[in-house]
Amino acid sequence: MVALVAEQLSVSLSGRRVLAEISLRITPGDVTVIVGPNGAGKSTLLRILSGEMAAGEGRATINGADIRHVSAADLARQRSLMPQHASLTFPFKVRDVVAMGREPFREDADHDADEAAITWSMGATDVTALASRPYTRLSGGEQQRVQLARVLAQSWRHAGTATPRYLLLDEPTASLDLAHQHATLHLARELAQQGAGVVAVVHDLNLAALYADCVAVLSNGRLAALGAPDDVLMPEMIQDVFGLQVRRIFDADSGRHLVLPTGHAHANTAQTPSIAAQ
Amino acid sequence: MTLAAPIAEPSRINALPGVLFLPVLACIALAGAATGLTTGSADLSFGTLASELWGAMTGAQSADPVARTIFLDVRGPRVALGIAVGASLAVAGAVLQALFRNPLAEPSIIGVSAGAGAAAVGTIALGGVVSFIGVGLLYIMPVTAFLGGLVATLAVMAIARVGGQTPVLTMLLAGIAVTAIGGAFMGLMMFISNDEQLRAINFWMLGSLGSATWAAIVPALVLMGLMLAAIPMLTRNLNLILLGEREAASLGLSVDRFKNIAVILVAAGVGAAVAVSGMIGFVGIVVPHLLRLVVGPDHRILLPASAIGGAALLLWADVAARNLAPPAELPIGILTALLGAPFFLWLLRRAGRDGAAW
Repeated sequence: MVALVAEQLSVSLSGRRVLAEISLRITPGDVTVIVGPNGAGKSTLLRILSGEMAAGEGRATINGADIRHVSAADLARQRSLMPQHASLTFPFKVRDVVAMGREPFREDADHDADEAAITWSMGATDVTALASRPYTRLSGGEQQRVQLARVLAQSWRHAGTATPRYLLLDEPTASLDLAHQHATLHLARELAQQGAGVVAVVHDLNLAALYADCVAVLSNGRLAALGAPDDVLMPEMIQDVFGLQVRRIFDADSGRHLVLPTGHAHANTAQTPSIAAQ
Repeated sequence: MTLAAPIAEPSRINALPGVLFLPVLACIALAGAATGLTTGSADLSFGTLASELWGAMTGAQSADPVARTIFLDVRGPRVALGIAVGASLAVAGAVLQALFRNPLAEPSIIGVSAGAGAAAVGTIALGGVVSFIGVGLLYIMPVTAFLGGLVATLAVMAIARVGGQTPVLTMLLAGIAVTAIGGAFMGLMMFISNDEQLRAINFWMLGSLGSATWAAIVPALVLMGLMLAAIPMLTRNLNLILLGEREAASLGLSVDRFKNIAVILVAAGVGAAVAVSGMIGFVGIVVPHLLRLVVGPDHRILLPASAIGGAALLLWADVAARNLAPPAELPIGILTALLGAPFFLWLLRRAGRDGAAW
């Protein structure tokens, strides 16, 4: 049973139900994108899938084993996690930060693999030129790419190695410029083709439309929709969940449907969020 | 695959400059030790030092038995204590800064020293009750000071933590509170002490390496030695902690277990240092901070550098304490505070100006 699976996950934090009966299956080879409004429970779901947090009810399993019963060290060799906010405030050199991604493999003492992983990850995230710069002097977007490189280095494997592994990326595109946003999701696709299971929280629905095999829509802690982007990203669903009117456009080049926001919905439904009400 | 063409650059950038800096530090420390051994009420030459040390090691007859006694039994323990205390305090500072992920953490600022000190004073004051007075006290004090430092560190860690982070404000406030509690306890213990105990407490409080005899410092040296020997095993994990606790956990570190081990080691080192040399402040902030500027934040180099640098600082501070106003001897704690407190203020101002989220 090779997959990262959420089985009927429910979580309450200080009396508020954050996740309710979420079931989701991340298979190696696929890019799963999680979308949803602020506070929908996306980060909490990733925390549970990464083994960082226990679910109130239900459970998460990694390759068949209950994730809470897998040791931190074993887990680190099977999945890597990029948190939404990085909190490094000490001036490590960029390359040193990326090299920390190889820490779970220290016992292997395979320096060639470490070197290859670090070099490849830095190239893939476009931070090779920053290698000897102090991390603390970088811009927000550059720091985010360095963190992504660290996560990639952790999940790097020799070509042909079939060990399933998972990447959990919490808003990896948040501070990136447009080109790097697409490069990041493109990279996620490439990793999936090499046999990784990738989960990414993303806000841009068109990034989801273009790069996801599977889109999971979270709304108020519930799974509002799950499936292929073309089936899920429909104007009615987006209207219901995000309170946003969109037009659906077919893009012949990618063969996918994109969505074009046309305006804020009228506050005629209870679910429609409005900034003023918050 | 990527946006920009990969730029050719050697992929291996290692910390060679930092490693090369270690021998320089070691020479400064060695010079401090040699100066400490040769200067004092009887000034001896480096030549005598070299020949007597060589003689002592090879078991040869001494050409100058008085000098050999001064080197080995009078000044030797003092220099050994300077090395151990300086190294322990500086390493403890560096480790605390990593655990709090905050470069302003320091044993004397966040209350570890106060906790250890309160326990040390309590041991002297209550020692009569449980009749530890005498040589026994020398063995008990490092242990109680260790426990006092441990309680203080755990308290500050618990109080100062806000949502997984330790902001500088809550950390300093928690340190002030814990230091105040430690100070109150010390006052209380002095209040109930008899004259003999008061004299012992006063002598201890001035903070000095001067009381050192081998018998008096061996228990503390063992405790500090244990801490210094164990900490190299923690360097990589300290680096991971700097990355962030969530990140460290996702890289396979059992964060809580690791932090507990590190805190126990720090409390052991600081407790032993405080028990034998009193309150010597700011070594733990000045040394790691200056060295971080030179060798960077990587603990694989920063910790050994801090150990050597701390030893060097304390050896030279002790030389200064003995020679600034002879024949009187300044308490060394006053010297390190005069040096360290302005440095700390400068750091604090700089942090505020840069808007760093320490």
